[in-house]
Amino acid sequence: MTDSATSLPAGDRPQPSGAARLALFAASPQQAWHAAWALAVAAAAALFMIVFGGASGASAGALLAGAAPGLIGWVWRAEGKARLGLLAIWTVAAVAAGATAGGPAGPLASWTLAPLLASGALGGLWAEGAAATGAAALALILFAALRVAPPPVAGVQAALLGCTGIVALVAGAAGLSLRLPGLASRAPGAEAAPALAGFEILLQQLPVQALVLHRDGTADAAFGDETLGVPESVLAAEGLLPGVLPEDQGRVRACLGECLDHGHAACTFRSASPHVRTLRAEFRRMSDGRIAAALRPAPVETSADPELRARTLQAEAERDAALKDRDRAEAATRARARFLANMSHELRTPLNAIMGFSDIMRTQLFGPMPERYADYAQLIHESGAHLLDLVNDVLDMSKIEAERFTLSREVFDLRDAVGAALRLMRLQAEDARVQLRTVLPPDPLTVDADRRAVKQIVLNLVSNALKFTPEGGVVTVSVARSGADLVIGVADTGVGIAPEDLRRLGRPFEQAGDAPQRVQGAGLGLSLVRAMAALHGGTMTLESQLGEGTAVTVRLPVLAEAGEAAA
Amino acid sequence: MMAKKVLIVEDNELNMKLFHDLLDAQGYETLQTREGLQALALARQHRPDLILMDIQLPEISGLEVTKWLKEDDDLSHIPVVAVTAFAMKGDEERIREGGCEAYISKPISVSTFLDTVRRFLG
Repeated sequence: MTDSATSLPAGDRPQPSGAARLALFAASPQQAWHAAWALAVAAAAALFMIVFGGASGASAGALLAGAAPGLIGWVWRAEGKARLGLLAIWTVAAVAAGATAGGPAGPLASWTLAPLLASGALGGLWAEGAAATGAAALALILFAALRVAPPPVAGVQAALLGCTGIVALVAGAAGLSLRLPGLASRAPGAEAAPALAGFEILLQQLPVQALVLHRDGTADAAFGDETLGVPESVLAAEGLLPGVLPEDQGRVRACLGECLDHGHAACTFRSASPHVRTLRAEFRRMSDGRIAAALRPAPVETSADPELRARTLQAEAERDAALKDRDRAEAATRARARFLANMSHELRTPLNAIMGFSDIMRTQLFGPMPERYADYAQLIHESGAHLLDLVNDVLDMSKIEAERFTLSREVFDLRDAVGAALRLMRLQAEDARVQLRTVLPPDPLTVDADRRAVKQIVLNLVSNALKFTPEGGVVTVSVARSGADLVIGVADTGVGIAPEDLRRLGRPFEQAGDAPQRVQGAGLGLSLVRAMAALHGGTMTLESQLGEGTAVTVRLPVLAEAGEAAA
Repeated sequence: MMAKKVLIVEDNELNMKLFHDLLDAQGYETLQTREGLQALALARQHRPDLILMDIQLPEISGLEVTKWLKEDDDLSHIPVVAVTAFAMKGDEERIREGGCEAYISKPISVSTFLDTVRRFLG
């Protein structure tokens, strides 16, 4: 609004002109114009009385009559229809002044134009003003014809009075057309009127709420959209602060003070009415020491502006929907993980009795029993152990899928972990009459990895290889460095995998071959290997020739001495 | 010499029987309960030499019961061995932090079970 004036540094601020200074005392531009007219014409009357003494009676009287409507318009801010009343007063005064000075031929006959001028100051009532001027002129002529007018002012006084009248009219017109500060908004030229109307509309429909405030938060004026800021009823009654939540009032008060000290300030606060929401306020010090303020909803806040609200609501709805989808998916994953964890617990409890009692029997802890029964006890125990492996695999897989499986990394010699896994498989290999060969490097192979996961990878791969390798076959486990990666390879001379099955393998619960070819297992072994490799940032690849064998290669970027080796 | 007493806190009947039979065969006397609160009362009354604690109990967690035992000056010296079917990563740490002296996971291996018990009873 008054940006250009208020943003000037104090020293460069232009001194207000007389009219502008006057405007500071007048509450509105229209009153300022009236005040200027009244003061100027009354001053002229005073001059006439001083210069011509008692002989100036008619002249001074005429001038005072002409000054009267200015005085009235100064005191009374006429608005709406009331402006027509003020225009009527102007008309009567013009007739009175003109008639007192000598009627239509007298020196102040020109003041029949004064109502027209006043209509300009009253906000462009040009048609009414023209009518008033016409009426005034008619009245003067009528008075002259009826000879009710006093004798005309004559001589020097008449000439001076005529000049004064003309000067007053010209100055008044200039005051309108020059758009001096304070008169500007009420100085419509014929073509300026629509622009002014646009200005009014703009003020009332600013996309912010614009306020003129004092340091204590009381408001002189409010423009713009009140739904974006503080209700005008609150502002008019008590100012900005009562519209602010009590907790935030201190901040706003401090911000107003800061604005007066530094010329500008801004703060965010929560409004108290009509409902709590966060507003952003920017303050600027105006040239007259008051504060211009712009209020708007703080970003990402529901707003009363329907379009903004609709946009915000839509964005929120989309976000909510996305969050709900994610929550649902997460809840489902969590529920499944919890179910599997509980199931794992429930399966282990009876397994404890199965394996515990069969363990007592197969070791004949409480005394001898027929060997055949002892063998059965051994079979029961082994089946229990296998069931336990499956339960553990399912649990691991569910944890990996729920992304709750976290690696416990440690630095260790990989050969130890592989050795431990192979010791566990040795017996199974002997039972299957399959040769288990290992190719380990002679030097320590230090890795930074999850020991249990690596062991599990080796166990699962070797266990798979033994299952699918017929008697007399060979399973080779090799561990080596390859560039920055650790490579674990398990190759067998088994039945191999058909190309169409190769694609499916490594996915949970998939097994190769026809039902009779399938062996015990849930089909989780390879998926676990792949998942555990992926957790380490590594990969698993499968190569196979049907009838010739299968080779599984796991590459893991876990070499602890990779940096040193490269250096 | 009096037989060593082992308090078994276990809510599954078959497992209770398994543990009892194993301990009984070794010449230990057993006290049995399936409830945490009663475990505390039995421990006060009989002062067992070892407590086998199932962690997953119906009413109160075995860890909670262990906490009470360890807070009781008269009972805190009794070793508590957790026996649990939870074999999740971190369970062992959690159980040891809870004050248990040792941890046996279910399903048990008979030899591991007996070794652990002997470690505390000599």
